[in-house]
Amino acid sequence: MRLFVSLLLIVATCGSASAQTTGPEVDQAEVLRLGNMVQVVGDGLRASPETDAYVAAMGPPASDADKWFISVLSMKGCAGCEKLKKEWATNSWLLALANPTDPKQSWAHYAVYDKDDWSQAFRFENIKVTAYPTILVQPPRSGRYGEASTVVYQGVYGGDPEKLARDITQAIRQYVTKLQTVPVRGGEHGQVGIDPPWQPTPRVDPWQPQPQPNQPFLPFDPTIPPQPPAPTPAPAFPWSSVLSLMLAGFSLPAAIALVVWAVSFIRARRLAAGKPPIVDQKSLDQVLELLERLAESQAKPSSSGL
Amino acid sequence: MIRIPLMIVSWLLLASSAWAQGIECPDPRLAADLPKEIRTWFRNPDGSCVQCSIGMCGVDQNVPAAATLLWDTEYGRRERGGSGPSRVAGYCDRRGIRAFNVTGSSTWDWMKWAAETGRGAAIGAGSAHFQTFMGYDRQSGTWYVCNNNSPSRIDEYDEAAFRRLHLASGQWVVILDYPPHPARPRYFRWW
Repeated sequence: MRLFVSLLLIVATCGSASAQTTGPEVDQAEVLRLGNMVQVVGDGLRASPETDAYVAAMGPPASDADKWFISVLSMKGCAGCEKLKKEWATNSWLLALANPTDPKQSWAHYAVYDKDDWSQAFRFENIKVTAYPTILVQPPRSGRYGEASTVVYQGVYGGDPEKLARDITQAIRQYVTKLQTVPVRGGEHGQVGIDPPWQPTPRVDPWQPQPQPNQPFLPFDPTIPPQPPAPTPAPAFPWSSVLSLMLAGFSLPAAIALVVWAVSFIRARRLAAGKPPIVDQKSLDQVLELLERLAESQAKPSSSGL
Repeated sequence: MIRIPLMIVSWLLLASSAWAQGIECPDPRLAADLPKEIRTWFRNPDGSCVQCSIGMCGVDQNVPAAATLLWDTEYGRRERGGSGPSRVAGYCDRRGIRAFNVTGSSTWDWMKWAAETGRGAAIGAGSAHFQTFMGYDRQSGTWYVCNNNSPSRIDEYDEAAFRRLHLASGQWVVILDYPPHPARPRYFRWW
């Protein structure tokens, strides 16, 4: 009887365990997609926004519109093209990026385009393709990673699926890193692109900045609403000069000190109010220096005056 | 004296040319990306509006088996004439075309899903007629549809007009279950 009860318990335990594991226990495809990567988590000080963004990009897409695009440009009678298509259906490195036989589970949207298919030729008019198979990678349609038409990766298959997968993920990593560090839109044309000769107003303000090389990094204040600048401290009132003026009669150094204070005070008030100063800092420094010398020369006793 | 009629004529000319231009692919408001020249391949020849509409979606999503429905090809014999959901299911099975064959009240949601994910759809539109759904602009509430009887242009409908259009044919849509097309790739110096 005991043996029977024990067997029942074992069967019940196994059954409940198998019922809990509906999906894979380890997402090995995501591990392959990430490649060599060290992410510091749970520590705001040492965290890297670039790495965090890369890990987020390579994770399961939030929706169909958040999937990246991988297009294989192929041609008839091309051994490399056939090899690539076969390997993409079987190789774990490539399957981690796109699953041609299971589009719903696929990390990216995957499609093969034949160069002789007239119905698709219009799509690739803006790019240069010199060899087949050529692989193109583009950001998702959602716009989360910039303009969806951007070619993030273009390469020709050299016969090594792991290398191709690593090259693709490396390009995505560089691209996502650029998005994190360089604030700008996509739109600077390259060799073949056709762009407007001016910078149009963005139709939708992207939630993430996009890269545009050759432009200085412009830091921005993330505080919302923006805070007014801290008030400039007003110069202290020259009490000593005023007292000496009242007690000992007017002297030039004391008068000069009062003038300097008045100028500094007016300047500080204007700056605090966001108005431009009447004279620039350089000219003011020169005037103050002149007044200082004048005051010193007046204050010094004459060398012959004993 | 002659200036006023001249001004009116020129204004009318300008207005008519602006109206005639309409919306054209590619446009961010459109989910499908089908140039005019390709859409005209699918001008309805003989009451095959369902296959014309599915065929356009086939080109948009790069599904040759669907794109070639109207013609005899290696993907199968041509499918001409009127269709209902069961006939569509039959030739999709024969040709191995994966599709969502949807009837009833959820068609609005399916069309919006298609638009958001960059897919077109073959939809009931007009009395006993099928057309190609090209996109939906949520902000303005505009629906974009290409009629296979006038494929060189894309028609625009507001919410009320589109509702009438879709209901006139009965709520039925066919959406190909394949990835959407990528945006036309371009080089940006992001690196």
